[in-house]
Amino acid sequence: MSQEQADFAEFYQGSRDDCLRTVLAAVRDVDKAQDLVAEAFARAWASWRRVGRHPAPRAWVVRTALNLSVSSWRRHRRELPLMDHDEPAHGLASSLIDTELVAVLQRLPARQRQVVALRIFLDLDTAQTAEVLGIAPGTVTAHLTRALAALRTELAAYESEGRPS
Amino acid sequence: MKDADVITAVKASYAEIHMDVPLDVIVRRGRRLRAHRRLPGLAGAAGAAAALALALAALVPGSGRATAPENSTGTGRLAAWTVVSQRDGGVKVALRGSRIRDVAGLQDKLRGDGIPARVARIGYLRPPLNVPGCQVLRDWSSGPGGISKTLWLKIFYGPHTGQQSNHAFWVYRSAIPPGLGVLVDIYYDGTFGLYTVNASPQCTGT
Repeated sequence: MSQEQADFAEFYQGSRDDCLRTVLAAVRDVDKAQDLVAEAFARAWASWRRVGRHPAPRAWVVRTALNLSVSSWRRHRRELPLMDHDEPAHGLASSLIDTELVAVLQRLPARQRQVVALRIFLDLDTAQTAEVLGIAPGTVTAHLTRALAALRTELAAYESEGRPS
Repeated sequence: MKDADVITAVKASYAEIHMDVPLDVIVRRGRRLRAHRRLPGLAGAAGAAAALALALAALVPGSGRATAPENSTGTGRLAAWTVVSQRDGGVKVALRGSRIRDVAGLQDKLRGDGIPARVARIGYLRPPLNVPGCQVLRDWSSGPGGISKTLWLKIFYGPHTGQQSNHAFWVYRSAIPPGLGVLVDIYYDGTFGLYTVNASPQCTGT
């Protein structure tokens, strides 16, 4: 294994779960998130000499995956359903993410979910989050404040009643 | 409840989510992307040749069998895939677009042309060598005992060896040894992988 591949392997092993969780929070489908993140990592490897020097390579992967998601959605809305034998294989059991808190997070508006995921799973700061999402830092702050407030309310209700409000 | 508590709770709720795609799958796919970038001229030439072949086939009856299947998923003027019989006995398969949906139609077309074929969509969660009902032969890169690169080139490219692109390939039925068939794996972005398999009713239809 070359030094370049060893560096990428270390990056992949250390980042893949956080990137998947971040993208999963945005797209809400485990299989789709896996494919998007895998494709983003493959593109990172294809351009590793550049991505490896990126100040935030994990953010690069997530941004690429989210861009792929948007492109994919634009294509799929014009396409036919899968044939019977084309059903994608199922990797993770959906029960793994079927928790109350995840359900609460999934009910947030898309942009709020993205901001929360980038801040929580990738530990990006406001400026980096803004760059990944292509929005203003002030907008990131506003989304994060609203998202955390909503999550706090839901969690408090859950803790007091044993279920989300 | 403080923000830090919310963040901790959210993190904990995703703790069991793990990326299952093996590193080698990512690396192989990355290499394919790199190779594609290195071949813009070849890919462009192949695309132009395919377009020309299609145009000629459409304009000149009998100059070759061009198939734009009724149930293919082309969204514009061109079908998502086309199979064009060649004068030298091979068939040329051209793929367009990033999502080739009608893989069953392509498979039926290849089988209709007498090729023991299986066409499958693969994803990162469905490794290319794990196609239900198929026994995929190892290739030369896996070590001794697999199919040789020479034979692989004869089956899939024949006289067009050196014209490999990510959007077109050929199949030469006469080069397929008895008992074997071909597997075409369609990737996430519409590119493909070409393999040989043991022919069987479950895998290749014959």
